[in-house]
Amino acid sequence: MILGRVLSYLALGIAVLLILFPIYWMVITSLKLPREIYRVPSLWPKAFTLDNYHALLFDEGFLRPILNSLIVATTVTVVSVIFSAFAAYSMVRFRYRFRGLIGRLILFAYLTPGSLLFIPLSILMAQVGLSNSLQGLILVDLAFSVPLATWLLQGYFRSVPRELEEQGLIDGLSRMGALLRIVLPLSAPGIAAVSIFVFTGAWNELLFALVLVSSENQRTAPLALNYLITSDVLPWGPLMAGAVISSLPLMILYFVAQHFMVQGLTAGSVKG
Amino acid sequence: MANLTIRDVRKSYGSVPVLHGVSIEIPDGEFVILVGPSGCGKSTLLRMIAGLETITSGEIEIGERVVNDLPPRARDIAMVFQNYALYPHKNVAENMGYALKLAGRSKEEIAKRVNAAADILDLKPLLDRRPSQLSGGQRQRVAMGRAIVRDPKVFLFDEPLSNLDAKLRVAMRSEIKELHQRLKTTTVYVTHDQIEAMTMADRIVVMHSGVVEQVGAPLDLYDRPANTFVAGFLGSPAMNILPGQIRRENGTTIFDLAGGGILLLPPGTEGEAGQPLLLGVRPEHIAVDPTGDASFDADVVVLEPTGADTLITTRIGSTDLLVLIRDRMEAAVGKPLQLAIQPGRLHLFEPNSGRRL
Repeated sequence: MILGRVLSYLALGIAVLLILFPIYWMVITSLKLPREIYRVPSLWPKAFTLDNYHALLFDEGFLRPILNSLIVATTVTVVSVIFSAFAAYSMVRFRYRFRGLIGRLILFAYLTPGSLLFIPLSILMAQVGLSNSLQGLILVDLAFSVPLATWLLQGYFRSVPRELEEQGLIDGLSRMGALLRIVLPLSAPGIAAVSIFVFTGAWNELLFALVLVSSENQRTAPLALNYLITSDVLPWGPLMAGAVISSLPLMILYFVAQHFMVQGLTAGSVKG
Repeated sequence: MANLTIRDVRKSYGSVPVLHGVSIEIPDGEFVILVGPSGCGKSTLLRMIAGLETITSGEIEIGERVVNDLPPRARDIAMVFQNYALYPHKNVAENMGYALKLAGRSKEEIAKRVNAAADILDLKPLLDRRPSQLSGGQRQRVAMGRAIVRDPKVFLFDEPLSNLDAKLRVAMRSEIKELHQRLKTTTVYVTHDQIEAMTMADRIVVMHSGVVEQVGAPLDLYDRPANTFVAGFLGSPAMNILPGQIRRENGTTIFDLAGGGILLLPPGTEGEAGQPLLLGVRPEHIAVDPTGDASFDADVVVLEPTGADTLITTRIGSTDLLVLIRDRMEAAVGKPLQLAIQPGRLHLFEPNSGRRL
């Protein structure tokens, strides 16, 4: 018994260590002076410094890429959730011709690897005059996030009992009202989860930004970090500082959203 | 308060017809129960009245107004679902008052009406609770309370008791009946349970495979079923329906069973002799009678005492005959028993169509 507990805590401890150590290393490196970074690595710095942050934010102008990333990721998230909420609702609640085919196409679009599409998409964006712009990047990100969000939301919508919505229709709601006032509130945990997925995806996206964006003031955070590397010189201090700053919005988002992620909101509404 | 008219209503899903022209006239204040086996279209019909299903053809009228193209919210109906469909994110009072809130009523009026309904259904102490904190019976009551609060033209119930345990079901049955006697709102109630139908309805509509088999008061349907389906569906245990033909000899009426053996029918039984037909007789209308003129023998196969009654499966030739005795009863399995059919309790049906003769 006791041995079993010790072993399971040991296993959990190792797992936690594996997950947290890179984060620890990122934070600690961002606070080290260059000479300490390039010497024999130490687990605890002798002197703490904010020089790396200063250099990144003021010499490299990292605020602009962060702002660009926020614009792109927020827009992609909001637009994806709105579009996919309607798409998923229609797939779940209405019967119409080709519904099954459309559903399979959505899954197919979501499963298509982005690396297959970046050349066609960059040509397309150039032709419509949206290359080297955040709008273009947003459109391209949406092409991947909307199918994903639609697919995920379908599952959450399906778990809202149809009768609740029908009761809403009888109580005086329109179809739209039933979607907005019953299905969406009851799917809140699902919408929070989908938003986080989409936001994270758009926030971390590097490949398309690399292909589509060339000018400096349109760069997103991952792209700007990438450009910090010049040939074989890796400025580890500023790079890690950039990684810390880039992960902050995601951490805040996860922290806020975990309150919404509480499951079981629908328990007790129907039978039980 | 309103009457409800269903006029030659049909429903198809694609090319599959599920309702084949149903017409029912329900006067104001009547409690009508749609009953039938699963898949007979009764729930579909109810959902069409509610506006949750489209009407393929025909007309539904609520209070002299054709509602075919009106959305559910414009029909002034209230519905109680089988699984209650309480909003999990609202408490009991909010659940009950939601329709009024959407209709733009004042807070005071909503509170007043919710309280009045809660009084009727003993829900006062539960008004602040969430549905997840209620028992099945309480949820059922809240669902009914929500319907009452609206004071609609028509109440619709979709198998409201089937998720409750047997004891609670019996209690809610009389509660719903009492509620209807008090409110006198036109009610359409769907169930597959013939006991619910018999005990609660002013009138029963028996449905089968998308058609109405018979409409009438519960006891009329019990006494004069229009066909073998209604005869077999209403009443528990089910009516014996026996194929064979009538023969008259020396003033006695004999029924020759198709599977061999005979029954003696009470004197004065009508029916054309020599024609194949179906004889219907309910188990409770057969008595043990060793002395009567029209007694016949049947072998006891199984004896099932319930305490109050005794259900006996007997066999004549190769035909089984159920007999229900309203008493305790000793009988030896394998031995013959003298039975007699009560006069005036026979039903004769045409064998091909199953129609009453």
